[in-house]
Amino acid sequence: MIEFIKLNKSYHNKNKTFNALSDINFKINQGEIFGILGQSGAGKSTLLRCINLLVRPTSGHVLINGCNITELDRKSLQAKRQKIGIIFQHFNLLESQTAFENIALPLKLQNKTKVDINQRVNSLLELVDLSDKKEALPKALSGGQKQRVAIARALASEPEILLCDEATSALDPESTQNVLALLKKINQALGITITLITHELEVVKSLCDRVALLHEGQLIECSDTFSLFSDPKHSVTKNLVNQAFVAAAQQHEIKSSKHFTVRLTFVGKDSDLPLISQLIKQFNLTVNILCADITKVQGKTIGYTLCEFLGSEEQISQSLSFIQSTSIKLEILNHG
Amino acid sequence: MVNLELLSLLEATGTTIYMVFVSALVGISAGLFLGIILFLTGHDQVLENKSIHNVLNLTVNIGRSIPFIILLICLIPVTRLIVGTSIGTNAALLPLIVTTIPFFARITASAFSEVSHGLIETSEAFGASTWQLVQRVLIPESLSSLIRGATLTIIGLVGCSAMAGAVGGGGLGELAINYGYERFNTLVILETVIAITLLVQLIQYIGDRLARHCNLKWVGASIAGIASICLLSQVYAYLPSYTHVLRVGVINGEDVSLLKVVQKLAKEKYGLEIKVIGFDDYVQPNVALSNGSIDANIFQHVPFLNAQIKSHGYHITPVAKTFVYPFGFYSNKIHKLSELKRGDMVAIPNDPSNEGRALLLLSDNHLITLKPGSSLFATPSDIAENPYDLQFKELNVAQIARSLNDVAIGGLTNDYTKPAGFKVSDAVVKESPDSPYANVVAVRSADVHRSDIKKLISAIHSKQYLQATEKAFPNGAAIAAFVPIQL
Repeated sequence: MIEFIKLNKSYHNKNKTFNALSDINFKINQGEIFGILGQSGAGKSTLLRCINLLVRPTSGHVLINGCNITELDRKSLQAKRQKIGIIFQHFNLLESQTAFENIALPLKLQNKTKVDINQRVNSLLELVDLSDKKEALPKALSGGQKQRVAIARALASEPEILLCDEATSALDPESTQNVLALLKKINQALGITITLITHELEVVKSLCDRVALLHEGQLIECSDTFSLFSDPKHSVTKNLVNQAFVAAAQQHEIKSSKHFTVRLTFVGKDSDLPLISQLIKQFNLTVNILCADITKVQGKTIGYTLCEFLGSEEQISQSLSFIQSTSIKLEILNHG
Repeated sequence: MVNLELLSLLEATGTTIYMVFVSALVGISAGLFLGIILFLTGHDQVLENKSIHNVLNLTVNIGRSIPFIILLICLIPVTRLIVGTSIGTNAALLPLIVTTIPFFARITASAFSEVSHGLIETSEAFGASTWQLVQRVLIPESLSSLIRGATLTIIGLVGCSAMAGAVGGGGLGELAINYGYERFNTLVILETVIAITLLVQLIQYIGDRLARHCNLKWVGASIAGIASICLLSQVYAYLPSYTHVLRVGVINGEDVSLLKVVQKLAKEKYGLEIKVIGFDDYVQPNVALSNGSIDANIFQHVPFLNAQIKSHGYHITPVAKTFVYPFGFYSNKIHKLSELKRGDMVAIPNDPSNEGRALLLLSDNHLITLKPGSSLFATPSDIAENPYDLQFKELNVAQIARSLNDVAIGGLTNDYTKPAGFKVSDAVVKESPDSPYANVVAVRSADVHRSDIKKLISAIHSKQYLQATEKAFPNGAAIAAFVPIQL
């Protein structure tokens, strides 16, 4: 569907060259919800904008359904863009126009007839559940409602791809859930490929089928969402996943702890195993639970536990061997 | 002193509205276009082009830094090329338009830069062309600022249009300067200032309303409204007389006060309301008569009128003579024509009208004979016989007044007798009441039989008007020629 090949983007400012994207290669499949995750400044926005060429890459190609869009002329690019919807963090609605007129914008750009526009916009208003706000100006709408108008606008010209640029970052938790549910509905009902960028793990966790992780302009990890959470490979990813469950301050404390500290990730066939009580009974180990959490990713459960093992070296090494024989993942954070 | 009445105030207001709104319509449209280009070629915009942007930017800055009065004068040759004249309301339009364009271009560009870049990015992402970006996003989103800017521009134009009085543009400013300031008439200044203030208030009110409830439909309706106001303000000038007031045009100065006598008499004796309208030049009174702004004028003699009719195709007819302001020959050397000697030097004016007038006077006094069929614009080459072998020297009239010591006689118009140290009664020879150069009452040819015109003529051919005029032009400077012209 969307393929990035050796994509580079650099900015020249006076005598300095800044590489926003370096050698990006990956694919986004038809019909999936794909998340691009990264800290601010990681190059997410730039990468997203390379899909509709709002940002033109310095080198490399972007293929959409096999068509290399970097080689299109102005007119063809404009036509191609009409098949790629986009929503933004700050909505970017025309402040002077009503919800109806905002949604009608892409259709007007394509010189559709009034009748067609009326019909299409009304059905979109229904889809995003805003039929009663048809004549409202953006300033009279809440953040969540504005984003729903923006989604309806992005869908107006029946796109194959929907790009979401931090679509929920400016919203309260309730509106965020609302918008995420709507995106999911759109993906399932209309089969639209959704590519979103976010720095929020929650968004990725509840919505994305697959995730790419960007760090300082480089793609450091690309996997399905469950693997990312259950089995992060790159240290940056680990850190990120960690952060989602343990406050940063607490992590710092763990590192300076005098005790042997581990993180256990309960995944796979043994995720239901009463591991802690078994360690206590079988190896006579004292276990001090610092923090525990359970989450669902793509319908599957993942449990996290941070704990200190207090006991003799032998007790501890036996315990570790036992854990390694299960599907539960072990990570030693501090050797004591 | 002109008695400023509501009518001339209204007329001036009409002219101001016409000048302001026509130049606003054209100037703002062109400024909008220039502003769009200026914005789109700017840094990080869709048509980014450094050199075009810089050139436009510089042009706009230069345009905005030239004071209007300087621009007005600098543009005179261009105006003449385009409009055909550098004087009058339409000639004032060009500088007003030129001053509006860079101002509104800057307003447009800065209004557009208030539109968030995200919106521009959005429309680009939805596949908008550059023109669609302007039409669907930039203009609608900045409409409110554009309207406020346009209001500012139009009010600025009201101020500039007042300066347009400098090129005879007419309007409230000219009224205030010519009739108020120049003639120390505080009332006129006050009235025009009030009219301008009301106009500005109205524009600001409409502008604010539009900016608050702006949508393109309302703006379209207002533009249509403004265009029709401009048209109406012009149609108004062409409407036929709609009151029973007879409007009589004369040249500003002595004549305006003298006509008061006629005005008073006409009212008392004939129940006729007369309004005196003063003009500053010799062209407008016939223009105004022809287009119905006035009903009669008294300022010209028949030869002048005929020349005007010939070049402009007016349907104007002289109906009565008033006074002859006699052309005469004056001398520092002789007192009677009979003292002229053979071969004497005679100075005559070198302008066509007065040269013919001088030769005709000599011919009437049998000093020369003109060729049969010679026109009123005869020159020495039209002389058939010159029994006294007079030597003709063709000079500027003002020069003749200074050269009288070097010639036997010199021909002078009334205006130059005093500078030359003469009274009209000192003339060696001068025109008689039956001179073809008598001033006349002229009306539109269709109106010659109107009863109010006849009443006007009776009031002019009155003892009262004669006495008043002779008092103002003593020593025979005005010779009554009170005869109706047979039609």
